[in-house]
Amino acid sequence: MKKITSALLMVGIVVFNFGLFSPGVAVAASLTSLSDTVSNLTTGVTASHVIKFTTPTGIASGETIILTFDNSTSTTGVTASDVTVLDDATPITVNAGAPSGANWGFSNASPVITFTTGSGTVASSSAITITFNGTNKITNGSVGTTTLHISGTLGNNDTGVLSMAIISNGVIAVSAEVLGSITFSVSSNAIYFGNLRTSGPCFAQNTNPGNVTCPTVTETEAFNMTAGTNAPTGYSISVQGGTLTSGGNTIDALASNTASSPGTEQFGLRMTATGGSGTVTAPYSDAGYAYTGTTSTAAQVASHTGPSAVTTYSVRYLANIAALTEAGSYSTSHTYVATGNF
Amino acid sequence: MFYHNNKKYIVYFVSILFFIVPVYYSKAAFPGLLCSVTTSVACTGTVLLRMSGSTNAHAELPSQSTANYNNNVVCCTGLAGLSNSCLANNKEIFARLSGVTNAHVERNTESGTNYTENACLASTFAGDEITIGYQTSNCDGYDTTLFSMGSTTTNSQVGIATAYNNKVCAKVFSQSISFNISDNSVGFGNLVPTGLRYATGDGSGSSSETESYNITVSTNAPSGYGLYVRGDSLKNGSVTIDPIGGTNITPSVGSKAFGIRAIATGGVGSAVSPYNGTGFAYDATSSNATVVGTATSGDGTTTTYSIRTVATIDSLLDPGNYSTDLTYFVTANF
Repeated sequence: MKKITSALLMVGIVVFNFGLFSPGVAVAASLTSLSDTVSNLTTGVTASHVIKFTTPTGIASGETIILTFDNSTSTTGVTASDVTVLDDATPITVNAGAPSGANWGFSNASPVITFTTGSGTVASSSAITITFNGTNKITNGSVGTTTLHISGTLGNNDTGVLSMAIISNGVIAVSAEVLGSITFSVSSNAIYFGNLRTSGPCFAQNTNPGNVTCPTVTETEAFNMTAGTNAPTGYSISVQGGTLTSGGNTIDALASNTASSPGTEQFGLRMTATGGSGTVTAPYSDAGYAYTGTTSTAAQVASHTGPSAVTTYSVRYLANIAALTEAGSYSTSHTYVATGNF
Repeated sequence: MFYHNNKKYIVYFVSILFFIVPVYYSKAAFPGLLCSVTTSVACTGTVLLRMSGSTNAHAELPSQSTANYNNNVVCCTGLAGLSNSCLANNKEIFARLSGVTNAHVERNTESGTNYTENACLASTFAGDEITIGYQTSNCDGYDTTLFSMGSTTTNSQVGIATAYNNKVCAKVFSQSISFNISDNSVGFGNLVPTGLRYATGDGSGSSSETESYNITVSTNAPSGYGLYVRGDSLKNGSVTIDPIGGTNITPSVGSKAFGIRAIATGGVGSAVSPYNGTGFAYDATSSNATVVGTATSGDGTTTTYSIRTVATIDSLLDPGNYSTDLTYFVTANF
C-alpha cells in the first residue's frame, strides 16, 4: 500500500511539474524594458511621450492597457488621433471609444488613459510602443518624480511602473551677438607725380622723387585701399577733394572716363578691384581715367551690395599738363570714406 | 521502519522542492526593506502582520490589537512611504487570512473561499515595485523575510522567519531618478571671426574653453539611461551659424561653427560620440534629438556632465543677436 502511495505521489509530482496539471492560478507578471521618452521634462509644459514596454505574457483580444500618470500630470485633451501604437514594428490603429475590429479602443480620463485591444492579439515577448505626439500632448506635472503605472487586464493583469524626473527648467537658452563690422585701410597717405611734363603722361607714386620730372611714366599703383564688411547691404567708398591746384590755378579734372592725352590738362584716376566682392564704380572702372569729386562733393568709387570679404582696390592717378599750364606747385587732398550699410 | 520513514521523508522533501516555484527577477536589488519579528512596543516601523507566537502560531491583521499577539509582530522599516494598507494603489498581498484574528494563512496565489482577509505590503510612492515570493530555506533574491509558514500553500500556521522552511519573502525596488541642469541661460558675448568663443554662465563668453553648464543624472533604473539634447544651432532669423555636425572636430577660426562637448565624471554614465572627443560636435535639430551621454546600468550614483559650448564666425556673418534653446532630457530604462 505504501509503495502504491509513493508511486502515485511521484506521478503527481511529474504531472504537476511538467504542466499536465494547472493549479488554475495565473500570476501577474512584470512588464519589462520600460521607458518613457519625454521630449521636455520642464514642469507644466506639454511634451511628447514615447512609451515602450515588453509584455512577457502577451495581450489577448479585448484586454485593457491602462496608463496612469501621477504628480499632477494631465492628459486632458489627448485624443485617439494623437496616439500611434506599434506591436513590435507593426502599426495598430487606435480609434476613439470601444475597439473596432483589429483597432484598439481609446479613452482618456486624465491622468488615466485606457486602451482596449481589438480582435488581434499581441504575442508574448512583444515590444509595445505607444507614442503621444499629436496636436494635443500630455502636460507635465510638478517638479519631482512622475511615475507612470501600466496596468489593466493585459496578460495576467501584468503591470509595470517607470519613473521620470520633472524639473523646473529643462531648456538652456544660448545667446551670442555678432557686431556689425567694417574694415577699411589706405596703404599710403601721400603720393607724388614729380615734375609734370607735356611730352608724356605722369602717374603718381607713393615715394617722394624730389625734384625729378615725371618719375613714373607708365601706369602704376599709387596706393591701395582695402575694405570688407558683414553689413547686410554692403558698403561704398567715396572720394572727396579737388583736382590738383596751385593757388588759383588748377589742372582740369576729367569729368568722364578718358584716355590719357599728353599735352592737355588732365587729372584723373582709375581703380581695379581684387578679392572679396567689391567692385569699382563707373567711371573709375574703365581703362581710362576720370575724377568727378570736388572739395564739397564726394564721388563714389567702389561698392558692394552685401557682406563682402576684403577687397583690395588698386588706385592709379594720372596727371597731364598743357604747354600753357601755369607753373607752380600743385597739390590736393583726397579724402576716402568707406560707409557700411547696416 | 527507520528506512521506510527516511524514504517517506525523502519523497516529501523532493515533493516540496518540485512544488516550490522560485520567482526570479532580473532587476538589480537595492535592499531597503528590512523586516523582523519583534514586539509591538519595540516596533518603530510598520507592522504588517501580528502572530500569536514565534512558531505554530495563528495570525491576525495589523489592524487588530489582541493582547497575546503583541509579542510577535512583523515589523518593517527602511522604506519611506511604507504602509500595510490594502486600499493603497501600490500594494501587494503577501498573505490571505481566514479571519481578521486567530487565523490560518495561505499564499496570495491561492483562492480558498474562507481566506477573505488580505494582509498587504504597500507603498505610498507609485514608483516602488513591490514583489512577494515564497521560497524554501531562504529569501535569496529578496530584500527580507516577512515570516514563515508551516504549510506550503494554504491552511498554514505561521512563525518567525526561522520557524519553518517555507519563507514568505518581500522586496521593494524603489525607483529613483534625478536630473538637474546647473544653468538655464548661457552666452558667448560677442562672436568674432578671429578666434573661438566659449559660452559661459554669465553670458559674456570666454576666449578659452570653460564649462558652460553642467548636467547631473542619477538613477537606479536597471538598464541605465540616455541623456539627450534637442535644438537648433545659433540663429538670427533665417541666418544660422552652422552646426559642426556629427564629427568631433576643433572648428577653424574664421569659419561658422557651433558645437558642444561633454565630459562625464562620477557614477556610471559616460559621454558618447561625437561629444566625447577633445573637439566639438553638434548634430541635433529642433526636431531631432541626439544622445549626449548614456549609462547601461543604474547604480543610483550621480554622473556630472560638464558641457562646453563653442562658436566662431566668419567675417561675413550678418550682425545681430543669435540664440537657440537647447532642450535636455533623460530617459531611464527600467
